[in-house]
Amino acid sequence: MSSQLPRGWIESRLCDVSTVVDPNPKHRNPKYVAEGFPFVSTAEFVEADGVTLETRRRVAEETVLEQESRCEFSSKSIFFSRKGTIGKTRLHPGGRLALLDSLCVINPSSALMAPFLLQALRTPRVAATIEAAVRGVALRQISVGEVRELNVPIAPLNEQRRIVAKLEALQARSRRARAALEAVPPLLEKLRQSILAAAFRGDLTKEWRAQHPDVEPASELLKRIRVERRRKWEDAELAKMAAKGKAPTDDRWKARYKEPEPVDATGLPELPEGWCWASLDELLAEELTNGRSVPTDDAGFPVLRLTAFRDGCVDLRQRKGGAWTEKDARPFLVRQGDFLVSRGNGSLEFVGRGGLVEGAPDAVAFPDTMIRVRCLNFVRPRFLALIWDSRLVRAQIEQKAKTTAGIYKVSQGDLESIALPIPPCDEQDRVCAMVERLRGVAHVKSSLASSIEQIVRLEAAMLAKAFRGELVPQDPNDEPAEAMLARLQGSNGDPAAARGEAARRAGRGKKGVKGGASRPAAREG
Amino acid sequence: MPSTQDIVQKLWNLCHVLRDDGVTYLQYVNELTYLLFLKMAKETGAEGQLPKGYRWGDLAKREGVELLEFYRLLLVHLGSEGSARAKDIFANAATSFRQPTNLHKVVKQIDELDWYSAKSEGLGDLYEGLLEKNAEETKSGAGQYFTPRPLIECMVALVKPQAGETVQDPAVGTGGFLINADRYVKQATDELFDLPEQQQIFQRKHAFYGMELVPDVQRLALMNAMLHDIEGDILLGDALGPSGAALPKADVILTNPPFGTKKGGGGASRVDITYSTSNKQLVFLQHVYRGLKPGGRAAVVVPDNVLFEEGVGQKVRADLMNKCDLHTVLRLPTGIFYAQGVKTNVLFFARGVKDKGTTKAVWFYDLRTNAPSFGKRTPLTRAYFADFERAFGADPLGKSKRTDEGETGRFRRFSREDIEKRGDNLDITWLKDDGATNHMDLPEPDLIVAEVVERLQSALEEMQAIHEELRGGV
Repeated sequence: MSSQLPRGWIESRLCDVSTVVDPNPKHRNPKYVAEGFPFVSTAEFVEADGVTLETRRRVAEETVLEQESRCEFSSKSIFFSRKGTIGKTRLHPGGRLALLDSLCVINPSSALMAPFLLQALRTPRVAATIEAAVRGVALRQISVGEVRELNVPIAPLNEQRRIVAKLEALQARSRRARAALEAVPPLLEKLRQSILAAAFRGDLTKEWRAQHPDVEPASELLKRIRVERRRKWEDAELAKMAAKGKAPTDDRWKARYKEPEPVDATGLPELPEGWCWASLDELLAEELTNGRSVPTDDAGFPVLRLTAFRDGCVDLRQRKGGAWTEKDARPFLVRQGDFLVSRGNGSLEFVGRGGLVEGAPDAVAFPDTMIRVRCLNFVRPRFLALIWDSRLVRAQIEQKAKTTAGIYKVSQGDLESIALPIPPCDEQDRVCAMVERLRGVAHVKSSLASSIEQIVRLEAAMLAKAFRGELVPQDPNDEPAEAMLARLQGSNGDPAAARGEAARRAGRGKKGVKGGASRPAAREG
Repeated sequence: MPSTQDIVQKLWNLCHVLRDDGVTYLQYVNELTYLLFLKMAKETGAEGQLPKGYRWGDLAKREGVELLEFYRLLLVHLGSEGSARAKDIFANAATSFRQPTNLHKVVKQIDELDWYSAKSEGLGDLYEGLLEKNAEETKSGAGQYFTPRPLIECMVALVKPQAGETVQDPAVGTGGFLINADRYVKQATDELFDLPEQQQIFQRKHAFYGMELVPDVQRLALMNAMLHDIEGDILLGDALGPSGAALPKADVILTNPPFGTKKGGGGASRVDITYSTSNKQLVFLQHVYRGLKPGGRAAVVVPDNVLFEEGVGQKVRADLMNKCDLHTVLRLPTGIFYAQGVKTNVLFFARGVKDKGTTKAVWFYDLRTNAPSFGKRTPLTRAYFADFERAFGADPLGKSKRTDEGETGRFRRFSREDIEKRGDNLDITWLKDDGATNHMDLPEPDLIVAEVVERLQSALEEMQAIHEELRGGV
């Protein structure tokens, strides 16, 4: 399983080139104080190799002193997480602190640059060894002894320096690239909203309007909408009476018509010429309809699931069988052009979201979790779907939504009173067409996600390349690692390695000590 | 006789008529440049620099198609015959007028100008106004050479150029910094009348000078300067080349070097610049701090990468902090420049007497986090810098008593040691972005797209750099 190490490198056990110390062998949580020293765990490991000292918990100086005397912290100390999240590493950030016992402290000898060891502990080979040594299911952990037994690659010291310099420079760049890419998706969402806002200001159709200056005034448009709405109601009433075999003898039935509430446009943004504010109620071809609640029955008549909402459209394949017959379901069938709105959701940002039934559906009904909206011809279904997602409309919905037991709900009355900006039909088509052209945004999003994945792979590849000795040139004049180790250990010149390990072996005698005072100094790689 | 105000107003209004005729603000500004130069030569008795038969009178007496044809001829002719200054103005000149009547309108208005009152009553402002309108419209091309005036005014007000000092702009663009510095001195000296005559001459002829790489832009800077009575040298040349090395050292340098790291161009590099790199802003920065007299002071607009780029970038920053007192860094909001989304900062520093350890601490002002989205609907104004200017203090060397506003404030002090611990990385922020945007506050779509492009480009640049470094490896 051992692969070729680069010339001049050697593999060694961690305990032979560093001391590994458990900061808290009693594994008892220390006393926490309100104002004290930082208490560091993996929760304080922040992006880009940092450790934040703004810790949630703080400890008294005596705890810090105890750990300091045991661990001999220095700027070369590495924190290694061996419980919970395993294998995370950081360099000591400076200042005085204490550690949670999920972390152990690695103090490299002079044979190793701390930043080099840090990178080495992240290579796939070492990570695999760590993973293989993990015990426990509920609380995964690896013992201090296992950490000591980890094999780490060691390059000549000069080469370590070159590798660290190059790796850190490359990693800084890839991190910045990743951060730049990760900043884009929120911008894309902002862009979508900005485009909608621009549509409402008439900016998207400015040129089109200049070319079509004879536009009907908004008041006229509203008048025509009202006339049409009334006419549709009257037709529907007559049809109902005909179905019962009746015919009206006078016009008194017409008085039953309820005029819709107009929109109070004060406080609403100004609209371009020819656009009018209308409430959803004013635009309805028929009343809003809730669905019917039916228990699931695979053999029954199909009904849409709530998961059918996707990207402002209705995915008609998301359905299940309901315990009802086709006759029962008939009033609740969906038609092309219907707009379905979600009545309730546990999260405010999703309540009242809608989807358009774009294609010609087969026979399927909508559920009680949705409200069906059918508008007059004055509103293109595509346009309604477009503006339904805008901040303008979302703000109104979220303001009206009421919450009970953690679920946000909107009622028919809530939806009817929503104010919508309505341009003349031709312009609606134009706005939809313009927004459609900007669909490329979806491609950007998906290629971004794969680019970010690529960068993560790149970082792993660069690390691997570094530890194959291929990232920076080798210098045959560098003292080979084996010779360096022998020199350092033989001359007893490394107090940290020699003294520390001997102390551990002699002292505690509890966990992870395998007995036997002397071990081979280094193994052939 | 119509007043100067009326004429200037008419010239201004004409720009709209011309726009409908397909003449852009930039083209109009260029036409005005040529015509005003001819008129100015006549009014100041300087027609000797123009060949006979190609002067204002020859133009103004013609009409109709003949006028337009003669104008075209004149532009070509003066590009090669005439004084050096005339050649600078008319190099590669061409007209965008297609209707003789439009040209005639403009010529007629200018003809009626009383030159001296026009200059003091707004001709300069008209010119600057057109340049600004052009920059608002076209975020590329000549628009990129225009630094927003509120920012320039802020920088000048803090650096406080004095009468008798030389002020340099090695990336002069359309001349905004020099004009503003000149205005600052004039306001403090009652239009120079407080000064003895020798000094007045110095101010007019020698105090303000600069260099510009692009001929079309140099022309605009020349005319802009002339209309504001500035006769200092505005040379055509590459500040990053030997011409730049030849520029005399200055008491004050104010500049906004062009952004972008386009490869190629740039001619011969300078031997006097220690750290050579393809990052032009890093080279410009070195030019600036080397171009200051001891005790001299500067304010330079630089993009973020100058603050964090490693390798050469770190060396340049360390060198700057050794030789100069980098006392203040202002982090500017995005969206104020032509290249929306580019993140920029202003570095304020003063040349020390020693070559080591001059900077002891750097004050950072964060005007970027949670800033409004600037653009057509929310224009940048001087008022936006008011808090910063107050915090900066009255001392142009940055030594006024200042207060660290702590983690929730915008103004904080970092010691040289703090910065050294970060690897001399000056990309320092501490405020949290509250990320709130309501639908009223959204920037225009094209601004957001530009910001996305900028992010993608910077990711791309980092990747390309990694590519280079990996290829150059084993």
